[in-house]
Amino acid sequence: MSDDYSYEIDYDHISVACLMEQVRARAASRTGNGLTSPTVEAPNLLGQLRQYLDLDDEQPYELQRALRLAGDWNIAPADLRASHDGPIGTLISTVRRLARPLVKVFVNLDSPLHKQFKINLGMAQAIYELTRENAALHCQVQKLLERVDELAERSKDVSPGTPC
Amino acid sequence: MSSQSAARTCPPARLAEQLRLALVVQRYGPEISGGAEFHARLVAQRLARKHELVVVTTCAADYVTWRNHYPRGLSSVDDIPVYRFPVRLPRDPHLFGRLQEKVFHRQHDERTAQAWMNAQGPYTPRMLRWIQHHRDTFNYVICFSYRYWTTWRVMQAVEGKGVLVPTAEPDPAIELPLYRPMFRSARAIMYNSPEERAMIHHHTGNESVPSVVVGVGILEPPQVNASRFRATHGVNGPFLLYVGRIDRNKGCAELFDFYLRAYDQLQEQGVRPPRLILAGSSVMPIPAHPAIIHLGRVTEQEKYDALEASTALIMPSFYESLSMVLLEAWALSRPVVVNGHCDVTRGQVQRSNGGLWYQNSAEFAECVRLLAEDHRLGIGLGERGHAYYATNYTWSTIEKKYETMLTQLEADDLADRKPRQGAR
Repeated sequence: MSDDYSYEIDYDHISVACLMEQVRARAASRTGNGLTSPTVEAPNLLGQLRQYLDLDDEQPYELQRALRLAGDWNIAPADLRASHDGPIGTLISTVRRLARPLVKVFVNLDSPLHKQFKINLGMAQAIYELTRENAALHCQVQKLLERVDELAERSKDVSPGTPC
Repeated sequence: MSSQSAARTCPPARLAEQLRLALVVQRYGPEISGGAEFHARLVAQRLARKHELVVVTTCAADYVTWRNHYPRGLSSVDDIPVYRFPVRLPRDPHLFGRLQEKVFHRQHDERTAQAWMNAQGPYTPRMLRWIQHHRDTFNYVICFSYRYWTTWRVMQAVEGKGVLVPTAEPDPAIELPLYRPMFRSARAIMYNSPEERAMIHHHTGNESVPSVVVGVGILEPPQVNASRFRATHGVNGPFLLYVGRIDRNKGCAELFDFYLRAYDQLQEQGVRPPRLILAGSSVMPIPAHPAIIHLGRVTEQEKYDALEASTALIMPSFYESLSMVLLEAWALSRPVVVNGHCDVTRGQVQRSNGGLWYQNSAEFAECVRLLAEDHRLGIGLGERGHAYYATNYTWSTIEKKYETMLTQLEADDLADRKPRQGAR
């Protein structure tokens, strides 16, 4: 290994479970070092942003799944008809559903709402990426601060009279 | 086989040597590379050696639109008769998208769920009529991919004879009440992995249905040559290999992110980072980086040569029902690195001791560093992966599991028929 950390591996009886415990411990001790490579990612930022917004009709559901964002947090065409006022709400919903073909003659709201649904998912993905990146940067800053403190302590220990 | 099934089965007194089987799948053909469809073709080839088997499928080649591509009627693929039926309505992506949003994430009634199923397709009523008409001529009807209209309708039409190969992934569809009767009334279920079985048991409560974890074998690896791959593509040094569609839904965005972080880290630590080689068509931008090489689509021979030359195979997908490429890597004694968030691939690695998994970028970097530096470990993991493959996923094992299940079903049916005859 390139540094002082060594793995304990029984090569004749490799246990991945045991190995993964060591990998996790090792990775945890390094957390914060995982910086993004800006030279590679910067030119792709605009492309990535477009990717978040230009979703085809299949992608949003895949994305919702990948982000584990199930539930009714997002806007949907069904919201136009929904009502939560008990039995009267059911009646209102039914009237709205019956009136839908007539309303659709004048204005079709389903299409823009579906578009907004997809954009919301794209934005959720972007926020997710930003949050993750922010967490990595936070760890990095913490580590740097610790390092600065450590160096400050060390410089205190070196008294002016001590020969270098 | 489930213990319940085994308990109520008598030893077979006389069994038909050869069964008449139909294999139903949404698409079928040598050009079709989709996981479940390829799986179906490999199983059909093996079962047809012993049994009288026909394939029943659609004329579609594209799983997004289901547009008719092949001519309808009887044809032959790998010397197996294939009956193709036209898809009546190609998929309307807007309608399907809207219905799917409603069915997956909103309160909905049964009519909406059925409309979603019809919109999902491939909507092939002629196939259904044909199966209903010929139902009694088959001992069993093996249906692939639980999700599609063809399987859902055919499994209902052949109740008592339908053997289901679900190829299920953990997505909202598996939770739909629409599918529960199908899973509960199947004659038997052939699962891909213990994780898939646990997930389906959890969502459908079908524990009493006879079942077995089978998986799928792979094509016999050809004579592999790592040097040929290196010479053809000008690749020197160690590299990690990704094989498959390069798609965000396959975890590739995260793979690129993690790889680039790991690359910088390893360089800082004075470790030579392995390159990342991608084999497959791309539907997302690939970072322009000198260590990332995209080969595009490759032949089977090139794929195996690349696997042989690789340090490890990377499988970043969050959702897999089996992942045949893992088996291909293990067939060549190569270690694998998988996404720890995918229960199935992580389970496979845990059971086999044939690789490592990661759940964040730091773990990914550590896995890469470990495999790049410790060749002995890579060899050891690859050997264990190979042993797991050889025990569970060679075609002789897979065929034996299918045969055992079919024999068991036949024995159950004979035992059920005898008391009825005696009563008369």
